Amino acid sequence: MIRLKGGRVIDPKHGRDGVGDIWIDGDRIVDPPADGRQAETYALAGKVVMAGAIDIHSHIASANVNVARLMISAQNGGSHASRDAAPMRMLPSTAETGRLYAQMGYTLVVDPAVNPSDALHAHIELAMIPVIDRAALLILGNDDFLLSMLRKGESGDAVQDYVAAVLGAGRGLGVKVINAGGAAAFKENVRAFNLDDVVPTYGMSSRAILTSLQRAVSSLRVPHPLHVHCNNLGLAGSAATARATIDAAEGGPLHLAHLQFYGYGSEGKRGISSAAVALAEKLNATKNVTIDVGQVMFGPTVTVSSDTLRQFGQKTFARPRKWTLWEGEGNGGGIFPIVYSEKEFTSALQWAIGLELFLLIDDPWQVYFTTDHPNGAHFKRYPEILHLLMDRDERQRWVERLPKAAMEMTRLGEVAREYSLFEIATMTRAAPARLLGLDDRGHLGAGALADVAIYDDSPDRTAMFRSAHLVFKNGDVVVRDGVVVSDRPGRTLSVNVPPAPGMRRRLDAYYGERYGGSADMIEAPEAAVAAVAGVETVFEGVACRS
Amino acid sequence: MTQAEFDDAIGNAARILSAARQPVITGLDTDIAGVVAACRLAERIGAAIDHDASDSALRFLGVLRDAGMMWVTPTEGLALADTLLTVGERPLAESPGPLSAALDGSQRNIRIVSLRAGGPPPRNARRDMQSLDAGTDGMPGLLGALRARVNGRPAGAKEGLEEIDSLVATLHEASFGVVAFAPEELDALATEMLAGLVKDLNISTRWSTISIPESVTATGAMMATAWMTALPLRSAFIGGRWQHDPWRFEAKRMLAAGEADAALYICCYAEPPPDWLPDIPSVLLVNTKQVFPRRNSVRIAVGQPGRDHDGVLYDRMSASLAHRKASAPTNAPSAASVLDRIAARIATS
Repeated sequence: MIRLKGGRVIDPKHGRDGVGDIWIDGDRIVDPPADGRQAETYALAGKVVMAGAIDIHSHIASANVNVARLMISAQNGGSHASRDAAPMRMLPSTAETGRLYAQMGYTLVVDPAVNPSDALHAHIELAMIPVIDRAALLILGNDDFLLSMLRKGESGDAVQDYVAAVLGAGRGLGVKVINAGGAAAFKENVRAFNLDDVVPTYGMSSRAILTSLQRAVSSLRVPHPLHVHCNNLGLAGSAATARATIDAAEGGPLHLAHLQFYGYGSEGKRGISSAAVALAEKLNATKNVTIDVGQVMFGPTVTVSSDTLRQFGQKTFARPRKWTLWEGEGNGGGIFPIVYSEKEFTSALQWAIGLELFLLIDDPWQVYFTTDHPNGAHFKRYPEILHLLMDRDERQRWVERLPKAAMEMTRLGEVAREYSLFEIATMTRAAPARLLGLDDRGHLGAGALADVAIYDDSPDRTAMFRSAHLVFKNGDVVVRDGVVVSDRPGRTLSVNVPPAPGMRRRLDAYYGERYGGSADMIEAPEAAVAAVAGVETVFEGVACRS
Repeated sequence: MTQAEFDDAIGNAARILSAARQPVITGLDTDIAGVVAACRLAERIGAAIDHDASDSALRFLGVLRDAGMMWVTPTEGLALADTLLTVGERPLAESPGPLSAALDGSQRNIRIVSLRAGGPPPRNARRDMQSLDAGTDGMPGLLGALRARVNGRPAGAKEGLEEIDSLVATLHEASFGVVAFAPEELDALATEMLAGLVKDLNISTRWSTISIPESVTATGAMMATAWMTALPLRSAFIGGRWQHDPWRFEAKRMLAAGEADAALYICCYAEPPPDWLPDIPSVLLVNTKQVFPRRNSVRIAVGQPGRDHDGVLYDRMSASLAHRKASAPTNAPSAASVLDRIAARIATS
């Protein structure tokens, strides 16, 4: 038994924020023992105690990420084998990914974009990420099978069965749609694709694809709502697309990814402006929709996206000038390096828009903390962003040195709000756990998994969140004074959907006819993943909502 | 091999590798689990790691790093394509191969044009297949001329300009065209020119490439080293970190130059012993009964993935990883299991 004694315990799910104790027995948090039994005690006076953090949108595995590793490998430098803090590389190895996240107090990270036909590869990489737990969202919405079903007017039940079959085979935690119909349209030489545009061969709109998937995910009672990468990413005026997509939810649950990349109006002499204020107002009035921000931070990074249409369209932003684009069944991937420069108007505007979204959306249960790693910034930059959210003076120091023309297009300089630790814990722990349907994570109540992160309560919030004082994963110490001390294997969470054997047979026939294979192409057998990763068990099931 | 003999072999292998100042792991003709285990062992002993068929993979990588590429998975590309441009011999000659259904007409009708560097047409070529010979300019010259004409610029081709322009018109007419090539048949310049040609075609229409690597284990090894080390093949674990240098850590070069003082050679397929492996302390994980004459070596028989045991391998058609069940299971240990045993023995000694 372990006693975490006298720290400031912040647990938004239970409304707790005060000095107290947390008790751990095995891998669970428990009530204080009535029998006064001895416990290993950690004295935590002056420390902040939160549940382990959860990242709902970070590209950490699969074909896109691995190709990107190779593409930037001349710039990348090698990974470290030791558990000590390694210099930040643009794209870490699997081992580094787990250790770097654990150092910051993260205990679960979700890769939001796995192509079903790459599921085995993705799950092997995920299983090789040590320390933390992982999950994958499977991409649908540009796949020929689904679009053909919709063209034929097949029933919602049939679409639901298809979604269940894909999720079950590919061990996804949820469903992601990326520019619904856009990648399919790009294969037909379409270069721009809006919500009400129609995929030529299939004859249905992006909106129709989106809403059919939303209905299927809801009907299956998959906890995580459909996770949506909207059309028109990165374009001036894309805020209109985001608003239209929010309306398309029609009161049902929906999650919009990396909203910063849609936070653009088209005003001003450069034809791009911040639309964050209006977007935040809309979200404050639309509680069925959640968003993650996709914050941009200055410096070099690499864009990795399955939105092939938009990645092709944006390739001119590549710095250095090189870009890769691959296509496969459904979506594919576009990869190019980029530099967000603090001297440049657009980069500065993007930086400000992300912060505006964080600060102007009122409810920390509705806005999720991401950089869309690596697209906006490396996940190692998270502590700096937290600091910006919690310290208005720190923000002002940045605002004053960024291009004035960009700052004048935003309201960031006027925003006084500073996130409290309680709100940070909500946004990075309690809210993600609720969104993903994980009742035993994101909080510190009895019965919770003993994923606990303990920080020094330092006024330098960057330093505070960069290196946790202690991190427990399943009740074991994995980080001590910012150093990872255990490479214990984590688990990959996947949703337990009802089997759809009829659909599986249908998929076998489909893959045989179209591709000369079988539905094995979208399967990630646990034994195969485990054998490569060198573990006994890979997956942990998450129940659908009852 | 009895269990006692196997344990002795593991011990001897651990002794050879841990005593080396600069070991090199090569061959690497194994499944994904084998490469993962090899990377882990490399970290333990400070080894360089390379695949013996990595030349073309590194050339392709060079273009990827310098300029980027466009490609489509063969399964999807052949489902979409209305025009197929083959470059070189092997895409046509390999039978059965990734393009078989397109070449023999059993798939829906795809217009096929081949760019060849001379020689008789392959036996399985369709009669309606158009062909263009690279002539004295060779394939880089032909691809360069095509690219120039696609962009409306003068071509430096000495011959066949009319045919080139006719082909360019065909390329522009495609709704979705695919260029199929074998990486080992193209040098770096030709690969770069091909990559540029395809990107330029996408200004007005849709094209992509299908790469048909000869060695699936080399491609798989490149993938696995990328996620294990964040670097490609021809990297070494030195001074507590992985470093990449495609010249310095080329295994064959290191061995020939005497820069490696121990070799771990892995080949799970019934291949003959490589003639480039010098007589230095060696650990041989092989699937052949052929003799490797050398003085200080340990030889351990390993199984073939997908035959003796299940394995995950790169699949050329899906351009991803696939699980292959054992077609004729035996007790032969996997390379991964042997490598892990060696690593564990080194850790405890």
